[in-house]
Amino acid sequence: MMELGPMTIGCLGVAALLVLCFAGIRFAFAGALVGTAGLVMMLGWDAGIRTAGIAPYTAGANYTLSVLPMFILIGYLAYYAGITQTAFEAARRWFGWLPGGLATGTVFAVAGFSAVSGASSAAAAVFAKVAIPEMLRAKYDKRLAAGVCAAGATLDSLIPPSTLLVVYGIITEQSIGKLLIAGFVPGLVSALVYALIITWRCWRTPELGPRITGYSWPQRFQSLPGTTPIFLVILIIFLSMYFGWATPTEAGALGAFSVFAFALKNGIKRAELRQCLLDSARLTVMIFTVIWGVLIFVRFLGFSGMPEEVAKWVTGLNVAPILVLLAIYLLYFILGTVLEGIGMFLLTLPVIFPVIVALGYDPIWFGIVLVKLSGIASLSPPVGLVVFVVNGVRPDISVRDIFKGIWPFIFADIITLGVLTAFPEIVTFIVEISD
Amino acid sequence: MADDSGADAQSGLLRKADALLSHLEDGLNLIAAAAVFFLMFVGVAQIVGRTIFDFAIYGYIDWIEQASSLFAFLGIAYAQRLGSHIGMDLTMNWRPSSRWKIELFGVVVTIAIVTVLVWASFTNFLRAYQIGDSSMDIQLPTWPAKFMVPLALSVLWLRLALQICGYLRMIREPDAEPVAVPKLITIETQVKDEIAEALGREDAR
Repeated sequence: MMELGPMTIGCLGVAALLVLCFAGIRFAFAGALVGTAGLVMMLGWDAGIRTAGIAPYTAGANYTLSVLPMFILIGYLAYYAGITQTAFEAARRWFGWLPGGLATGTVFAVAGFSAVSGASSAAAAVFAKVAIPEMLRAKYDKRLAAGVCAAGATLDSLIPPSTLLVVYGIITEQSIGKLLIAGFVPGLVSALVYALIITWRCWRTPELGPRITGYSWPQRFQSLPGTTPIFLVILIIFLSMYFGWATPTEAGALGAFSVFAFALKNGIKRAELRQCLLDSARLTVMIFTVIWGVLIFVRFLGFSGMPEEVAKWVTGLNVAPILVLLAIYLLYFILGTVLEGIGMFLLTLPVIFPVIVALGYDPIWFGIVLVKLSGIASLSPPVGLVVFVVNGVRPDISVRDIFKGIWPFIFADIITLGVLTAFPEIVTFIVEISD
Repeated sequence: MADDSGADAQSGLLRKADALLSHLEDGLNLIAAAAVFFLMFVGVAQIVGRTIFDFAIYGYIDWIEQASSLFAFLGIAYAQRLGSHIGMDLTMNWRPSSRWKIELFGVVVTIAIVTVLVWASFTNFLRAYQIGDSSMDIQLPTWPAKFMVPLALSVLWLRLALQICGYLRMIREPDAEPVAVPKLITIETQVKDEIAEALGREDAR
């Protein structure tokens, strides 16, 4: 029989995993299957099976991972805390006076709600329903109106609480607290850049988005209490991580509890609460399953030594690190248009991450950049689920028009990404201060 | 029902088995949901206790770690029933007859690895039980948490077996009403579901 070297087995494993995933096998089970088979080939039947059999428990009974259900619960409870309408109203009163102010306000409202609810397509649906009619009534351009709902919703993964950053932290074994702190500023910057673009475009072409005036300062302040849950959740998590007051799980629990309190005040029914919890449990088990499935695969890759070999090979190439980085960006951009973030991260990072580290890039910074990248990709054609969701809510605005409405934001995002790449300090400074 | 054909009797049986297993899956997912809810209160108690009363729950991390197995595993078959597990759907635009076949292939591959894992995780539990393995800090026994893995995977195995029957039936009788299989998702239905779910919650307010 031909003896296969560990490196060959590793490469075959990666190929087999990709084939199975493309054939529609769920990532968790494809990872578990290839991982177990590889472990058995390398360690023999007993040790291989034993290593695979331990993985689910190791992933499940892990304090770090218990932050996931808390962030997920915050997301499902957020719908019942009565924040969408109030957030939009507050945004209108505070930002309406700017050129295109209603659109700018919508970006902030949808980004805030999307961050807290943790689901960009759902946030896009809700705001397409709440904000688009108001913007059209105010004679806003329909492409702009639909574009801000779709684009704003993809800012969710940088602003805490972010499940995607937690998953990145788990797979790369980085501090989840640091990742959550680091995402905050780029998330804010992205929203501000969106706001600048809207203001600039509407200032140049006022028909795109007229100003809305007539709100007094007392009226503005009156609109704020309704948005408390959004600020509260983001601040609880950000400040707890920044000052080290609590673990991510505890901060998540406190965030969930505060949204729960608002949901109670808002009259959440028993059946609704039950559904929230059942949905949270379902999403939790989905993410845990894919984590332990991929963990078996990662164990196998570790034994094969393949990731280190790949990293060594890449660093040995006579190519500037920035070119490798750009190639990785391109890879993620393409993958991101067809895959959603969690699955994409879990499938690719076991091989890509060691390369990044070997090239000398900061692991926390890379996480933020990657999340930003997957946000851009999720907005881009051909798939761009959020775009189809906005179109589903507003069939009168065609998919083509919505894509036309978002391209300035995609363009802006690419520039933001370039700036974050050229000046990684924008991401890392806040982590360093908190240390 | 003597007049019923064999096919009808089969679909009746499948329906009954599906309903029965669904009850079990719902129950397990409810336990997982309760665990998530409980974790929220424990987290708040810990943070409030520590910052205000200088009091910490005894063995907090050990308890959370062991209890995490409830929400980490118990809902796995429930999620499979709803077709929720994360994957790629490149076959969305295929004809239903081809899609039933590719789905069947996926479930057969999955049940193979799940069979191995039921056994592997059961021996992992058995080892812990026999040697009296315990947690790091306050020496909680780990076997109950380890038992959750083969338990949940066994229920998943049953669900997968049922789905195999369901897909075989759809391949044999393409015009029949689907039973015990998740509905086929297309980009349109996915978008529609997403909107219905989000706006359903919104409208309830």
